[in-house]
Amino acid sequence: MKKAKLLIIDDEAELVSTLTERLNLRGYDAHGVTNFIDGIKLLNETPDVVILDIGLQDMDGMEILKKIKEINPTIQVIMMSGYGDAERINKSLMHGAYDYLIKPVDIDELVSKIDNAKLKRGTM
Amino acid sequence: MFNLIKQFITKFREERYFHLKFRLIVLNTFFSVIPLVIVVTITYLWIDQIVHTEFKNNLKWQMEETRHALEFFISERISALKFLVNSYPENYFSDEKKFVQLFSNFKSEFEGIVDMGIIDDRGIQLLYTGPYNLKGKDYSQADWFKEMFFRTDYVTSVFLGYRKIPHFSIVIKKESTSHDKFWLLRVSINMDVLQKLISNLEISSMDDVFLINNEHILQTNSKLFGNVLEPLKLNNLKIKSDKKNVSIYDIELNKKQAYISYVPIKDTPWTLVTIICSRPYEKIPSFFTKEVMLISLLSIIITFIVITKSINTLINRIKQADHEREIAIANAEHADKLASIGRLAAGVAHEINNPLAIINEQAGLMKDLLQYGDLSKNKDRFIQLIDSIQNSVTRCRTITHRLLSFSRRINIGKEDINVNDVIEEVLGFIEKEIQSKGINIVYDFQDTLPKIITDKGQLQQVLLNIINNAVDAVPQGGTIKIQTRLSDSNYLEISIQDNGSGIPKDVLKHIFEPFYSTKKKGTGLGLYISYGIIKKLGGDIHVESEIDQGTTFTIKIPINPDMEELNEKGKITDN
Repeated sequence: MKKAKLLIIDDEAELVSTLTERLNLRGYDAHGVTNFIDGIKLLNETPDVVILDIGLQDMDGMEILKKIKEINPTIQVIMMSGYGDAERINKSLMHGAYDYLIKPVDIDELVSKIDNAKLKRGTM
Repeated sequence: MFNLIKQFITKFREERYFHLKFRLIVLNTFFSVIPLVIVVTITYLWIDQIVHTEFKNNLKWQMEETRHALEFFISERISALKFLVNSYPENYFSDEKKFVQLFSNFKSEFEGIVDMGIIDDRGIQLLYTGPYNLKGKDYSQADWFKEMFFRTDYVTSVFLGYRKIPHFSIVIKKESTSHDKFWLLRVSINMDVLQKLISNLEISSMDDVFLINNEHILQTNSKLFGNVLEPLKLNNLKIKSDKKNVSIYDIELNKKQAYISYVPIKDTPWTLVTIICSRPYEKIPSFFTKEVMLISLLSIIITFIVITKSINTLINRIKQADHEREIAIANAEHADKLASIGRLAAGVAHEINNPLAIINEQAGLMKDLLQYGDLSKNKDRFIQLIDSIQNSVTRCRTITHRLLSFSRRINIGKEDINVNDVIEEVLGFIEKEIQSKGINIVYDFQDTLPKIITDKGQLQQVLLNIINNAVDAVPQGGTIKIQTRLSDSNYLEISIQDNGSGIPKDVLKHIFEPFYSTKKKGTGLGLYISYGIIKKLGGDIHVESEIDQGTTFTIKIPINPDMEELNEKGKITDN
């Protein structure tokens, strides 16, 4: 199976660059951006899975999730945040997020979530 | 230390309840007893007055009785003598035998008569019958004889006369048929008869009754003023003999209160005088006093017991209610603390999770590079990653140190602080929340603010609470303006102004009360606690708000507070 095409949106530049590199090392086609405006451009290239932080400088992560689902509901979004409260998790899942991971995340867990999300997208 | 403070508070409260109880009992008893005292006093005065009036009436009545007896005694004898003179033939008053016969008949009918005599118009006693040898005596110089030139009958004052025994005379004039000639019939009566007549007046042994004449010479013996014919010495009192009725006055006799009563006796030179020193009018009031005092005292004791019992119950209820309220507040404060901690914990976790995520990914990448690549080629890359990890660690350290500065307040009470720095530190805690809401913070700090001495942690708690409220109040992209300035030489002012929806007036007046909250998840204690803290730090806090314009909280805090006073205030709440 062809590895998934990924878009990482997080305002922590160091995290974005490191995570992108690690996922690329694992054979994924990953791109990272630190704000939503850059993210919008890359969405046109239809990534399979978006890894999205909740607290962004220019727009709330929850809003971005809604936008992504409007543009293309088949794109799977994995939320990734330092917050771990039930309210945020439930809200994300209600708005169509595939999963919600609390930072810091284990790379193997992330990889397995990405693969499962890709599989789910394939069935849609 | 904790136990000592607890003991102090318990003692303080117990004293407060005791004082309250004491005050209530005293006040209630006092006001319950007042009507009783008023009624008893009025009744006492009323009865006293009645008894006095009764006493005076009785005295007056007795005086009248005695006066009548005296007047009757005299007038009866005058009439009888006049009858003798006018209806008996002349020879009865010139012939000695017949005169003696007449006297013995008269004496047997009218008691008290001692002797009888006939005096001619020169004052010579022509005839005399009685126990003394007074025939031929010359009365031409006696006052009564001189009086008889103008009168037809006369009653003399008591005098000694030739016989040297106190007596008085009744004299009747008989005009002769020949012009300018007259003779006098005179009878004498001993003073004892008067003494006997007035002794019928019912008085106690301490009181006195006597007769005086117009010159205030005693006409009978007196217990208080001496024997017959001595002058009456009664200071500051003028007895007016011209009055017809009984007069009663109160006088001071030998430094004691007494009553004097007098009445003139018609057709005589006498005035009947009674002095009452025995105070018969006090007998009933003293009886009344004893009875009423006993009943009043009993009522007061019963009132006191009832009031004490009911106030004891009341105070116990208050005590219980206070205790329950304290427990409720303590529970709510605890809940509020937990809620704050929860909010803080969520923020802190987020703040730390982000650098941890970076460390995690960078360490992971180093591991990846070791697995997938060549170590020697990636040496520079490793150094770069390790630097980055250390930066993230620094980020975490900043957060944990902030937390420590927050928790340190438990140990450090007072320290020199720069208010501007404290505000920035507090904003650091809620940085993320501010960012995610896109809130614009406008700083208007006075750079030259002096350092102040206060409890930093508590001030942080208050600022965090008020700024959090402002963050909740403003809409997405709202503005919070924070200003610091020197209010006067003793106070700093921190104002936190938001452009939120504002607080309605009816809500505004309650916002510092405990358990008052308009938030769904609020405990209603944030501002209550903040208010308490600022008051404890010697400052003040007030709020202004306008609907759709926003709310401004202004905190006024002393620069160099009186530490002793603050410690005193702190004692009760520091535990």
